[in-house]
Amino acid sequence: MRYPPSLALLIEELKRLPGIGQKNAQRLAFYLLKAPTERAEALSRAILEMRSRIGSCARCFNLAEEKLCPICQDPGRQSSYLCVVESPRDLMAIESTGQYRGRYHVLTGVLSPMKGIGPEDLTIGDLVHRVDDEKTEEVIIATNLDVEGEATSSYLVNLLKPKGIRITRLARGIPVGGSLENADQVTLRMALDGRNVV
Amino acid sequence: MRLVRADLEQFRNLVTQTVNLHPHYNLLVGKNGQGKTNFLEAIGFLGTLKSFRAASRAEIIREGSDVCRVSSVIRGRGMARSASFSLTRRGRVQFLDEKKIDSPEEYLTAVRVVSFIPEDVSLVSGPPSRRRKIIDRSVFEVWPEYVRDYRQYLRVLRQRNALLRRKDFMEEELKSWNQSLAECGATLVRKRIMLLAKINPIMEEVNNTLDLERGTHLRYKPSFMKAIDSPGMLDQNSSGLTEAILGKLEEVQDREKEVGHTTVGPHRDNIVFTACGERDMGRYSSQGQKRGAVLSFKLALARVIREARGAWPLVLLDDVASELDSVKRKALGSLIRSMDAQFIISTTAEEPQFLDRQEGYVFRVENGLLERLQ
Ligand SMILES: [Zn+2]
Repeated sequence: MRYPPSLALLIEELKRLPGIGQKNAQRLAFYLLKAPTERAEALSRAILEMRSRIGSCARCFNLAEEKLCPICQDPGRQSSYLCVVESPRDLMAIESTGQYRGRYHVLTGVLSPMKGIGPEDLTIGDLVHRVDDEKTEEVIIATNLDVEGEATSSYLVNLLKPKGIRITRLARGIPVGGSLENADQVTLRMALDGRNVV
Repeated sequence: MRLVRADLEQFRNLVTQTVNLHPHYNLLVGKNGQGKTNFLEAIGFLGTLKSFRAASRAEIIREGSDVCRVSSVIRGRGMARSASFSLTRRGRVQFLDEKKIDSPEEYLTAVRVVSFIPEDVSLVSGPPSRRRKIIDRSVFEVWPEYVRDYRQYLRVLRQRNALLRRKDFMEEELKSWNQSLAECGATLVRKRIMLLAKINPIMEEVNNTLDLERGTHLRYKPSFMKAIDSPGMLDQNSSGLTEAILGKLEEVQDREKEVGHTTVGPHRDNIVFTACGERDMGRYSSQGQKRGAVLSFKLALARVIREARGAWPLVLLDDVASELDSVKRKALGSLIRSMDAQFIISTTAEEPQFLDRQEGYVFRVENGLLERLQ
């Protein structure tokens, strides 16, 4: 049997979402079909609003609804520490430990020649400017401990070393090849405490 | 590890049957083409998830059937468990204790087999890639976490090659991939050399016992330096090896930009069967000498696995006695007796001369059927 075109279209769109297959897409679509109109409207508004409001922070490239993200706006944060992460999700993971009171810089990715991503595709230039402007004393490199994260880390070390600041790398606890996002809070806290000078 | 029982279904010409095995010695006798090697191949597949004859699934599944299955009961550390696999033309599935195991590595650490077949002689004179492969497999048998090191290295290698092919990159970017390649590469090299350091003294012993060519050993020939002689290079964090690889990468960098791939590193290293006087056996030794070298390597490997993992692997020897004279057969017999492993040995000779029938089970193999002789 064929779905009416508008329903078929919704199912197709839902199937594009990560982790959603044909079966789940049908379930969701029928749920939205039967749910009160307000539910469906609230969902579509939430999606559009999120898309129109959220951009990236002009300073650290974290997610932000204003020019600067809440962390960059927070005067209580120590500007002398700068933690470099791959993505806003990794930033959230470190924030969730409640252990770190410095600021962040989001690279928006890692070096990956196979995907055609080089240093110019990341926010590395902005990072260098920030280190100079904000009188950073320590850069904590918190890229993932997989192959790409390590290569990006060693690129940053080579780049920042001549500036004579302290550079540390998250280490202990996180399994080699592991990702920050999947590390539990205790492990991440230990990795933060036990970071190594590089 | 002991293989207590094997159930065969549709594996090549083998008749569907259950074979109960002796915990130490199992001799397969019979004419060629009756199924002796096929049985060893089935058991080898059970232990490695690969055919030691590099056969495809379609070749292994008996003609006219869709699925072939080998199940087994194994005993190790006082515990019995079952291991099995089934093959269709579309793929392979493996099970431990009736549970489907998705990761081959997980399965492989449960069942350990070392095999020797006559075709292995080509290992000595074949391309370096074949020897790298078997050494890497052996390192994995001894230190299972090696599979992770190995995958990381391959990933770095692919990234660095992708960068070299792009050509329009900054020196600094290449430098960071050099660093990663050198670090991951050093880990691989270090573990391979540590394996050779375990294997070589035992190979020497085996050679002496079997009166094979003196001084036969495995020599590591790195692609990034002349030879790794100083033991200081093999310290815990392999900093010496990392430096050496890094130095060579910088040296060949311009050339690599032209060819567009990485030309030095463990993926280009060689491991050479070497005889007395540093002679490369692949070039200068007779077939018999090469055969002996591979046999002593495999027997040494079994002992290294025993030392590292606390249990003997199952040892499969195909047609091992045919080229040995009676003195060497006797010597092989006493060597086998000195090892507490389980053996399955095939031979065409009725009286193989190196084991007595009372010591284990003798099976006559005919038309794909194994029949135990009393
Ligand atoms: Zn910000």
